[in-house]
Amino acid sequence: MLLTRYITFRSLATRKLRTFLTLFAIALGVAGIFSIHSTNQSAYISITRLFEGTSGRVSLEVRSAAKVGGIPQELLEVVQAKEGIDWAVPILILPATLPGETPVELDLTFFGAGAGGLILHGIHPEDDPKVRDYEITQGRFLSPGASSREVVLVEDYAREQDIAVGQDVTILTGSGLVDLKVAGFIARDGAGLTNMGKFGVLELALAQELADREGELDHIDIVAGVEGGPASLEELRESLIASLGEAYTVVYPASQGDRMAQMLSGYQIGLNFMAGIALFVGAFLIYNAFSMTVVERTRELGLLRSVGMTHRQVTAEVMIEGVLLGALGAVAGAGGGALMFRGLVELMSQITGQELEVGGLPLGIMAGSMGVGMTVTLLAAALPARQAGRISPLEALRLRGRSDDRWLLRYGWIAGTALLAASAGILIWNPFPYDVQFRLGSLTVFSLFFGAMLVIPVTLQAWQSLWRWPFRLVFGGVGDIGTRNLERAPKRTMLTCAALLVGVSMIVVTQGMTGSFTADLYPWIDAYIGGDVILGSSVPLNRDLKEKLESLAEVDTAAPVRYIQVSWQGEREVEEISFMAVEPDSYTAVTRFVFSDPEVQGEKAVAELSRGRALFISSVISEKYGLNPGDDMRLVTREGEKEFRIAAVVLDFFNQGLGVTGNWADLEELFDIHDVNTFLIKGAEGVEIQEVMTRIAEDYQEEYQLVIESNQAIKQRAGELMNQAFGMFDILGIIAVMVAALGVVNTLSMSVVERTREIGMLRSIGMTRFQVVLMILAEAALLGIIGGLLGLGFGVVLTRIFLAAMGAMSGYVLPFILPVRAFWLSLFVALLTSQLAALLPALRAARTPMLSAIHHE
Amino acid sequence: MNVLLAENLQKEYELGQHLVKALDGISLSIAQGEFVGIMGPSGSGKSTLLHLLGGLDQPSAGEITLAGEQVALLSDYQATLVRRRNVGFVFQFFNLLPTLSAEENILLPLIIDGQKPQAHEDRLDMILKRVGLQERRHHRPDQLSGGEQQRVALARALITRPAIVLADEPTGNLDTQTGTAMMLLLRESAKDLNQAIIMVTHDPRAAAYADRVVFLRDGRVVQEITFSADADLSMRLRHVIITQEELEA
Ligand SMILES: Nc1ncnc2c1ncn2[C@@H]1O[C@H](COP(=O)(O)OP(=O)(O)OP(=O)(O)O)[C@@H](O)[C@H]1O
Ligand SMILES: [Mg+2]
Repeated sequence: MLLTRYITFRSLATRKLRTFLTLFAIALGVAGIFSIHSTNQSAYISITRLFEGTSGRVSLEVRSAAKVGGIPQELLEVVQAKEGIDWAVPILILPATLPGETPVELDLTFFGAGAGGLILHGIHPEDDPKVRDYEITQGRFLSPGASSREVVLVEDYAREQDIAVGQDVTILTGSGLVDLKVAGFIARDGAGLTNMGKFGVLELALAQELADREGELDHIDIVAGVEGGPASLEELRESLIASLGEAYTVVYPASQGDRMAQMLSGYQIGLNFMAGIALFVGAFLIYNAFSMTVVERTRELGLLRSVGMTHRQVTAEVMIEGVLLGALGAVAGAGGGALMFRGLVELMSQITGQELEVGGLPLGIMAGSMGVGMTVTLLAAALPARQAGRISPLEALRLRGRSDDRWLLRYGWIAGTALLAASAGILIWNPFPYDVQFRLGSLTVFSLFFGAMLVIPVTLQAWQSLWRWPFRLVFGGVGDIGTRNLERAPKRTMLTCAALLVGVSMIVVTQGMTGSFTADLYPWIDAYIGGDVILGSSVPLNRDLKEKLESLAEVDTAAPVRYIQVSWQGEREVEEISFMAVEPDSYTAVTRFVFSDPEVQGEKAVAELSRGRALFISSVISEKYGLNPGDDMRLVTREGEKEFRIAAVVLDFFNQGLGVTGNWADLEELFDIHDVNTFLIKGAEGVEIQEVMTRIAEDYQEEYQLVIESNQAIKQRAGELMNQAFGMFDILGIIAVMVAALGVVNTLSMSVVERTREIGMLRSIGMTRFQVVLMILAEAALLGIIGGLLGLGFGVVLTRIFLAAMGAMSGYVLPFILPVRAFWLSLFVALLTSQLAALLPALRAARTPMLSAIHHE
Repeated sequence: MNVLLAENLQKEYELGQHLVKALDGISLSIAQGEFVGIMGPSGSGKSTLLHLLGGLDQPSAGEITLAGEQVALLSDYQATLVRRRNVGFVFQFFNLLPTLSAEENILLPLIIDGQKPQAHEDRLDMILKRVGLQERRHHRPDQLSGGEQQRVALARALITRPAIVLADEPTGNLDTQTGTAMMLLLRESAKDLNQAIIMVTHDPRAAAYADRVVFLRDGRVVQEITFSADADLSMRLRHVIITQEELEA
């Protein structure tokens, strides 16, 4: 058998391009699965670590029931006196910034805009390390006692800022500048992970002094000493709530990590879907390449059969090729996957605004994806190999592909129609509850896809006659001859169309999702990032700044905005939502609200908001909880639960749409908050935006550590951020289209090889080389049209499923808007791809030597 | 009047260092309505000659005039047009397109030429009738017998009224009976349509239907017999066999 093995290796070597492309397909699939799974894993590990690091061993937290504002320090003793508590440590959060550190742009993530900056925790130096890990990397930890004006910073951050241990640093807090001595550095791990490592700690009393919040805490972290798991912890929690009273609440420290995990899981569903597609297109390409090789080697294999090789041995020959390619491809894929993994992690970090750990290579996942790659390769090679085994010795003397696709024509459409009907039924009839449906979603998608694919063979003739006239116009009479060839290898045609379908539908989905998003998102972004200039700061801004700003000649209006987290007593449970406080007058002078109901009388709604105790709720909340104007919402304030009347529903995607807009007066009165997050500035008539920015910078930037950005710049960055999120789909669409193109190349090459004699005959009876090219191009064009139109339809359905699934999951209900561009783009891409891919086989066909074609046989 | 004139045709093939002389100075002329058979042992150059005459290949030397036009030394494109309009081919293996119906196969040269098939309905009907395939016009090749397929191929060769029809062993793949029917058809076509036909064959019985038989050997014409119009089939057959035996001796 050594000789035949040699023949196999040689056959790989002579078909360099195809061998390379097959390897590429395998590697692509392996790399896709590997990188996607390791990214998922890394995301989970990062979240868990972040959560464990920052929360440490904390099992419960005491906070103000109003979410905002502090709690009195006396509470600490009350808590510590309770039974079943090992440790209770106080924390006061002190937002700060280093002068000169002012970022030039606002931090923009899907969680909203902020100004970054340093977070300092005021703690008890002896107690806190018992709850959280502080790894001293240089110097020492805080010495106890308020007299020491010391700070300990995360080393990475400090080094970035050129700060050394022992040095004095000037830090700006809400109450002004202060000099602190850097006692030591901690590692960016454990507690050092807080605020993405822009973090430090100081003595609680000192923090209270600097924050001007004597006797106040933000929360008390509790390490419970109870045995007996969740039940007894819940008991402890309830007893704490009972003894602390209404104004305070005790929560599990999980909510932050949960939010992140939820957000990531949405993205992961998308990633998994893509891994599935990578697998399919990879398998297709491998199958395609192997069939091609078998077709080309028919004579050779027939000869081997005639000199005494058994079916089995021939099959084994082809399978050995598969094993070899599979192994090589898997190794290459593992390498490529490691790189893609890093890229994906980077992308995820960008999108979530949360840095992810890369860590070491997850070897288990790597081995797993290599295994999947090998398996898929062998499965995809198995059919062509079996076909090779069935080559009769006689076939050494013939050069014709046979069609063994009869069952496909006979039964394929039945299975296909059944699948289509079933998935259409699920989609239209909608018999399942949302979460079941969501799980069924991907199943429906795949059954729809396979259904559409399986009906291609029986509909080929219909497609062909439907497009006969346009094809005659473009390609002449030979176009007809070309398109009819597709019927000769229905299986191959079906798979090639399916590959095109996947590519095109990816493009349609991207376009559709982007279209639907932007149609809703842009008006909101436009209003949300309203005014001409936005001011932010990493330290709390004083509301007095408003008057100072408005006194400038360049400024017309300055509208203060403050975001807080509030608890809302929903129907079943307490929900956390964001509350954006605005002064209705200044806000509407600078920007506008985007009411989701265009019929709404804006002025009346704003007037109602101005009267107080009223809210504008987001469309997401309205959809998700079935709330409408006129209904009431009970929010937990510092004064206890209060009712707010819903004045209108607005488009608002801040905090993933879980937000309400309220009145500034309510913020001051009910939440006792007086500082400002951002000012939206409207420039005075006829003043250039740049001038406004320069003037504000000159007068107030240093004093207030202002981040000044024009809303033009922010909008642009918001757009870029969104494009980045969609960019991944774009890339996948392009890869899918490329793979489809390779499929078209292989399919047409096969078709040309199989028809050598026929093409020779056509040439001999007077077909010019150019007409041969046209004939093959027409064949490809019909492939493109079938793949393109089906892909368009499939893409539209897929987009709707995605939108519906997203709506079910998060409450974002977006209108389905397919840009007209998507329609043309998909058909154009399908046609162009097929034509470009057909060029090589077409030229090869045109060079078919007539004589040998006729001579043989 | 001669529709085809070949003068001193030479064809050499390079095989490594060897030069294989497939044709070594062949001259031939064929008149309108003439049916010529070409015989000779395997490798004597019969197919090569046919290819040159039909413009499928270029001679190494010599000239070919087809319907008043030089065929040698044409570009590929020009040669293709000559084949399309002035030559009809019938091959041993039927060379039909399996995806087209019989009728569409017959119209193929016209379709390729960009002509409207409807404009040729009469010609098509006439030829279908002649080859006896009126009932089978919408069948696909795999629904036709070997003889029927070969008749489709002949009809395709005739449809454009070519200057010459070239057939390479058209009966090679048929049984005796269907072969005979095919020969009758060729002869009648030559007479009734005034069509020049050249047919390569190994079969003396097939050659006996021709007006003239040319014998090749080692790329040269070694003998030529012309039958008188009234000679009957068995006489012709005997003549062919005797000549063949003489040449082999
Ligand atoms: N492409 C080629 N390359 C080299 N030699 C060739 C080629 N085609 C034909 N020949 C040689 O030219 C000579 C004539 O071949 P040709 O096919 O014309 O013979 P033939 O009379 O048709 O034989 P047969 O009756 O077997 O069909 C042969 O010796 C053959 O080997
Ligand atoms: Mg021959």
